[in-house]
Amino acid sequence: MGKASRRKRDRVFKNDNQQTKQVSALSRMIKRWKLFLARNKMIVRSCAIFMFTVGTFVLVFSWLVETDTLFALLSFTAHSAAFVLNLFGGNVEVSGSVLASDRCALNIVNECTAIIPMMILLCAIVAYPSRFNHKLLGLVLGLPLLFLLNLIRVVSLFYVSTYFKNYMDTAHLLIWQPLMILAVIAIWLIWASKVGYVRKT
Amino acid sequence: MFAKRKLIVFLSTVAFLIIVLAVVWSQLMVPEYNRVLAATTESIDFSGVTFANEGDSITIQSMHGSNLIVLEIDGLSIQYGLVILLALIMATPKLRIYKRSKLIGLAFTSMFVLHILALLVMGRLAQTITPDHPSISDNPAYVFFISMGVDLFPILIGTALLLKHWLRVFKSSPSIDTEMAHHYRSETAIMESIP
Repeated sequence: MGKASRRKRDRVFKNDNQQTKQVSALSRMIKRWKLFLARNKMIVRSCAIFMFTVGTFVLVFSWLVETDTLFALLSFTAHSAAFVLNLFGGNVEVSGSVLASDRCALNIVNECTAIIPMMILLCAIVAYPSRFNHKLLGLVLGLPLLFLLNLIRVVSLFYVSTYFKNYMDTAHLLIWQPLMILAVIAIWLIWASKVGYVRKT
Repeated sequence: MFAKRKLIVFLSTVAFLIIVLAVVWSQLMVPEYNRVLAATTESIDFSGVTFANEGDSITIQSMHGSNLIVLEIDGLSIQYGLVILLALIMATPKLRIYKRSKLIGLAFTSMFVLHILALLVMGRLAQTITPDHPSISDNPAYVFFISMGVDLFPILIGTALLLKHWLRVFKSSPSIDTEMAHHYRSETAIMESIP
């Protein structure tokens, strides 16, 4: 065999070797992913269900924004808060979604209702692998709890807005918003610890 | 699965830290963080939208035809998630200082990137505002990144970073009653196996 043909043979062999290495690296990566998915099927399934439910909620919510349905929820939240405030002697009136007294007025917007924390909790409970009646129990107990907590939030923010106006933004955005997030995490953790998970065989 | 007492102590600590960190953050960090956020977003956006920090708020300006659209975002509302993540990481027990610092760095970096994304989304949506359709709050991108994102992203990042550690730390130890029941069952099984 001549030198040129030997060089050509070596070059072809080198290219083949590199291609083989790339193909085997790719197949190793695919095998690793398949093994990961097989070992963590439940987690992957739960994450997929969670993302699907979140996506569905985002679409439904964006359709409902500025419709009568969502306005009814805003109005209901405002009326509930006014009821509680008037129980404690506040002279509060409701006009649509606006809470007003002699000293201040608060407009209840979409983010001031508990609908978003409630939907996140719903998505998390639906995604977690557990029995249907456990999921139902979690939703029946958890969703009203979040609504109640939100009511406390609106009432307290009304008082802050009336007597400590300078701290309104801090209380609204830096204290109560994280506390609502903490409530969602806490309710889900406590529920998940009580029900355990169902392994589908 | 979880030790009730440990969980309650943890949640109370987080709630306390949220209040403390909120006051400290609002007094010290808000204007500087907004300045860095607006400057970073301005430097990476090439669509003609301008992001400017004005006091405690961020202003987004864009041209739509011959109309100048100006959106003003309250500074605190765009800084979502930082206080809760910091409180969760600081309150989680049995974390070494190095690991804790690493988690804080990861949490802050993730939230900073998400805040930039939120501003970029707002910038894009500002360009779609017309006199016939002046609202952007019904756009799915706005709902996902802003309305829902302020609650969802901190929850996702917090649980992604800390859930495995929480499962280890808050796992309840077997109680005396269950140990006795286990011992009784073992004794009964041994007795029954003897012919």
